Amino acid sequence: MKNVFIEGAITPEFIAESLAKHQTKHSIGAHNMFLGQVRADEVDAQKVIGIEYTCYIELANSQLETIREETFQKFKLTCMHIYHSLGLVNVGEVCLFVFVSATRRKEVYAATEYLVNRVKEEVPIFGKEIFDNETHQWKVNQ
Amino acid sequence: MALIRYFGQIAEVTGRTREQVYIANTNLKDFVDLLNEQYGLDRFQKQIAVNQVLVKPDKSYLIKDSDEIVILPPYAGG
Repeated sequence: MKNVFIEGAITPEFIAESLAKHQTKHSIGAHNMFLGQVRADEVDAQKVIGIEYTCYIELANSQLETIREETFQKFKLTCMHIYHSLGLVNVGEVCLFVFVSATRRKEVYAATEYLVNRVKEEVPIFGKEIFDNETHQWKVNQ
Repeated sequence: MALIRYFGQIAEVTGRTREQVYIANTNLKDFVDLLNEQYGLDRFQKQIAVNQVLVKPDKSYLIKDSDEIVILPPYAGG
């Protein structure tokens, strides 16, 4: 399994480089990307200023491998990449990057949504939401 | 000895990310009940992984002294 986890935020430069690396793959006709950004949620007049991510890496990698294989079985994709941040990601920064490519556009929309949902439901990643008053709460996916 | 690992909010509440415990003739349900009582974890939704596989904490699932048992709070990726 390719390395999914990146220390800190996923930068716009990293995203652009990922795209650039695929431009030599001439069978690709369509790319789709999902970018998850840390949002300034407000809880009891406290604002989120960042999220600190941790994960159970051994299980995360095996779950990601399963998700990857099953996605390739379900959708006709040329390529698929998943990247997730570990450590602190500030509000406005990207923490999840899902990138799929196919010959034609038909496959990429549904494949992206499928992948994002599975990553959020099945990969043991944990998030500590840091507030502007230095307290925190633990993020739970809906 | 078995290795018990904790993550996220559960690690915060127990005050640790790992500990070693001697296990003898125990099932996973009883063991999790013991941890719940010891650390006040009852109120938390959790999943249990044994040797990197998610398992339901049943009385029929016997755990061994060589196992790695991981207590996982709800996921928050993305």
